[in-house]
Amino acid sequence: MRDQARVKNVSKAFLDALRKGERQALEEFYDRYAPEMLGVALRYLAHKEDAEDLVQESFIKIINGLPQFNPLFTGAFEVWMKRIVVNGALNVLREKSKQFHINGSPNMHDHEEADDLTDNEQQSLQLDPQTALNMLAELPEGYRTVMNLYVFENYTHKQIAQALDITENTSKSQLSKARNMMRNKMKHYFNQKQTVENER
Amino acid sequence: MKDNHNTDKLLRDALDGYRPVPDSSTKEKFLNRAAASAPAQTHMNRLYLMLLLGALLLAIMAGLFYIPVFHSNNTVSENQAMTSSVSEPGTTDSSPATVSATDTMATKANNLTQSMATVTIAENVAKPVNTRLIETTETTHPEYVAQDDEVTDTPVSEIEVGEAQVTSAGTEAVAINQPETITPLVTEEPLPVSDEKAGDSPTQSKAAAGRFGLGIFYRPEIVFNIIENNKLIHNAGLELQYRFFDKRYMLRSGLGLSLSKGYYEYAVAYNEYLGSYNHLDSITFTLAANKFHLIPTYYQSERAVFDTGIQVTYSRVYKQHLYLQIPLEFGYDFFRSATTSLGFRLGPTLSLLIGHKPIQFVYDPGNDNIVQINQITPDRIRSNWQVSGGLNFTRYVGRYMIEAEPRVAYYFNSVYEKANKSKSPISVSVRIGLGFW
Repeated sequence: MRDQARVKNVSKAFLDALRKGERQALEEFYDRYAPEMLGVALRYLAHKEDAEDLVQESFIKIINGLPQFNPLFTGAFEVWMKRIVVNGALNVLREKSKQFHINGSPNMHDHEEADDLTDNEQQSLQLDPQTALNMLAELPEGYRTVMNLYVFENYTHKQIAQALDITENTSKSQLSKARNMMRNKMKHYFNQKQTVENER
Repeated sequence: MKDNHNTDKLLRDALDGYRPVPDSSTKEKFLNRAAASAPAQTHMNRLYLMLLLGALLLAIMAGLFYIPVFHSNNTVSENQAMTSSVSEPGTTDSSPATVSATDTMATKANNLTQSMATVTIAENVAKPVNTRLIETTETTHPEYVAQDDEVTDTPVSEIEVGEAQVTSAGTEAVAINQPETITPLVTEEPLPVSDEKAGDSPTQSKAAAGRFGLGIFYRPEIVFNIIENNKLIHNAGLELQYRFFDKRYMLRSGLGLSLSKGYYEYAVAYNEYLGSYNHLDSITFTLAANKFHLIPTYYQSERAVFDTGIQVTYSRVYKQHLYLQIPLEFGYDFFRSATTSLGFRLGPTLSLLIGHKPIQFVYDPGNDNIVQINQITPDRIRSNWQVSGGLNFTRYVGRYMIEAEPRVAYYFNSVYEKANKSKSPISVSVRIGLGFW
């Protein structure tokens, strides 16, 4: 579910002003898109400083790449920007570790098969964004990346395999493990929350 | 079909639309960097284009002005060489007065004097060496005096006396020291001199050596082996041609613009718009004191609802591409008369993409949420090479020429960034040109 207003609002005049480097347009561009793109970057990079650097670098790329951008469809600008940020994040992660692999040392109980969340749990479990980000950040890098691409960017396993230079089966297996770990974390969070509420 | 696990949904709900506020210092940093980089890039592109155009313009202008000057200089220097070669043996060795007079005259007098000397030599071809030398100096001096009295105050009689002395001495000098200097000049040079005398004017001689022409052209072109259904390309430009070797051979170059239009297909993945609802953001209660109950105030915002399944639609966009073309062509006319010529032209052409824009949008996303756009028809390539040739028919009307040229071109690489055709494009076109000499 998305806010419709966020999707389609780029005028040609605005893009032209950006191309010319007009300060007012640049400020408007930053104010309008930086928070959302920072939200995207934070899903991939655990540290806020890294995410902010990524957003800044991506925005410079976007400004420099504007002559190549073709405003064919209303709303495409945001998709294009998001793709640049995601690709930038993948590059950062690639530089950090040449291969995507499970480089964390997750707890044993994280790998235990967990049942899917019950409807009751789901109803009562309202994750705030920061908690969700923290849970994502605790995932090993490879898991987190696959989960992000699959859940938020709507990539297929084939696309993920191409983007990360892994096999489709690896992508599927990493997603499955990531989901399992997330379910455990969510159940743990749910139980803690229940305990606190009961104590009250 | 994707799984839609509860975990995924919880994560999406929590993070979709999450907009954390970035640190304020990063905004300043970005603004400074962006302001510095964006205009610089535009200016650099413009600068490169201006430099390229300037260099080509300069080359054309230099060609236009340099070659005629080069030819006229050649004619003058040939005459000067002949005059000085004749004078030197007689004058330099024997009489300083004659040397200065001759030099001064040679400096001040123009081509007329030089051609007079040349004619004198030609007339004396059959005479013995000594006599010719004497006659040359004798006939030359009265002419100098007659043409420019201000050059020297020496009376004619003195000059003639001096000349008589000098001549005899000069004859000896020639006989003893430099006989070979004179002999080759007299025996080798007469042929071109007598040719010129026979009727060819200097202008005709220059024209035979080479000539520049400037023209404009328009060339509609139909390209085969490409994806677009619109295969017509419009080419137009400015060209400079240089003809040489009796104007039968030619080199042609210049600048042209090539405009092509066509449909490009896109696959658009989107979430279908299902409707909207009023989302309750918050409620505040106000106590109505007189009625002893709470009055709620609801704060709502409209939220759009999209289908989670991704659908794909195909759309076509009409786009225009503009190329800068730089040809270099060689030509030969196998038939040539005063008013017409028929020949062939052949050479490579470099095409550089300088701009593109969509002309017609045929897709309206409406309220749907676009997820991804994939371009099915690959975009046009930024630069490519082609070789083209054709038969040229030219009609000359005074200083003007009208050209018609059916042509065939072969593209060395695809016109698209991703070649999905095994065959390279080929094209047929007709070039219509108008130029002047």
